[in-house]
Amino acid sequence: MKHLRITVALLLFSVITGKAQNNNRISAEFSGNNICLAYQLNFEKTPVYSSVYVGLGNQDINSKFDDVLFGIKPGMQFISFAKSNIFGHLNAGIYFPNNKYYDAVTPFVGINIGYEKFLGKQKKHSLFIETGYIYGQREYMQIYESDILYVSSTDKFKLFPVIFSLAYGFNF
Amino acid sequence: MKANILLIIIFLLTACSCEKEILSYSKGDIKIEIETGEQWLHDFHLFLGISKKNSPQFAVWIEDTAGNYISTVFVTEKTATEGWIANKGNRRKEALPYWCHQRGVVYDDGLLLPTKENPLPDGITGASPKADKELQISITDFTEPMVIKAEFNHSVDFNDFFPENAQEGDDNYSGGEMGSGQPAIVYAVTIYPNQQQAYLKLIGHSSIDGSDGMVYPDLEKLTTSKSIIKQISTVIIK
Repeated sequence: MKHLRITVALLLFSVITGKAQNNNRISAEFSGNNICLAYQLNFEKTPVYSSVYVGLGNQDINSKFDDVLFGIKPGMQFISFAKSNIFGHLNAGIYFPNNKYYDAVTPFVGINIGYEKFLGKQKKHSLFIETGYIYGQREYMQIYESDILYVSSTDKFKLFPVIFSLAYGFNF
Repeated sequence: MKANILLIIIFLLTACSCEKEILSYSKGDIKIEIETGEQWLHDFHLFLGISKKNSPQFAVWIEDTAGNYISTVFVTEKTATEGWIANKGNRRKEALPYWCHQRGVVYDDGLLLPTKENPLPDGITGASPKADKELQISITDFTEPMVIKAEFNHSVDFNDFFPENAQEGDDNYSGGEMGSGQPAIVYAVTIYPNQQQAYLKLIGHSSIDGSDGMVYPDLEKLTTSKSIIKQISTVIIK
């Protein structure tokens, strides 16, 4: 739990301390396993950015979009064109499964690359895709007790490692 | 900024290397180890040629030596809670019919399968694991021999003897397009309080369409389903 608190504090700190240009972005990202809202800050005079996101996931035992995740994606634009760019970032965060069988708060790390296409003359809107790899797993224990029997077992909660998401962004 | 990112990565990696959950055994406890076989993960077709690897539905339970059901030790979530997705009301009675009949609990619809409204207890219900599984059980009064049984089944595990196109009423009908294919397989072993280690043996297969609670010893028509399990062992802690 101590690790979690420190991690959360650091995630927030890194975003708050970033100095922003005008073109920040709010985006909605969709994949088979997660639906996320993200806020991205672009750092002044550099291609570097950092975004924080929060979302819902469906990766635990009940397969419902009722898990919560949040994280940060520090990264940079590798190649910029007039109406598009190619970017890459690290991805780190925490996944909270939500079910009645186990408690397995799971930190994760990953790496993503993506392509963003701006829409319109003022580049206020954009569509982008991201793909990447993520690693996060956590062991958990289950216990059952009755008058005649005590049962305990362990198992592993593992995040699906491949990410592929589609997103819409509003730039301001 | 760089320092922040580096710190975040270090702390996340530290958090990821979280402590391993270890089962602690006492004298008289029984350790059940399920070692997965080559066919533990089975392709389940989703759409557009995309498949996912499914692990089997299974149940582990104990009986007395007269064949009377005592208690379930573990059962996979979809069976235990009617947790099937997009099953169009199909309760999949062919999934684990032997366990259902041995348990003998009849639900509102006349089937022996737990329902969403009346699922099995959370502590013995779990995700079907992707790899080996270990269970620790402690029986309050373990002075007489007991029988540990386990039943495993994949859905859509069709072969030439149990084909997808078998029609209801055919001897090899296993639930239709989304049915079982090869029927569930059953393992059992009798354990004794003074024993140390024993291995569950494959004793047969369950009803093909889930209509009865028999175990059929003929295994000739089973192909891949015999490789779902590599080995199941029990160890009584001394």
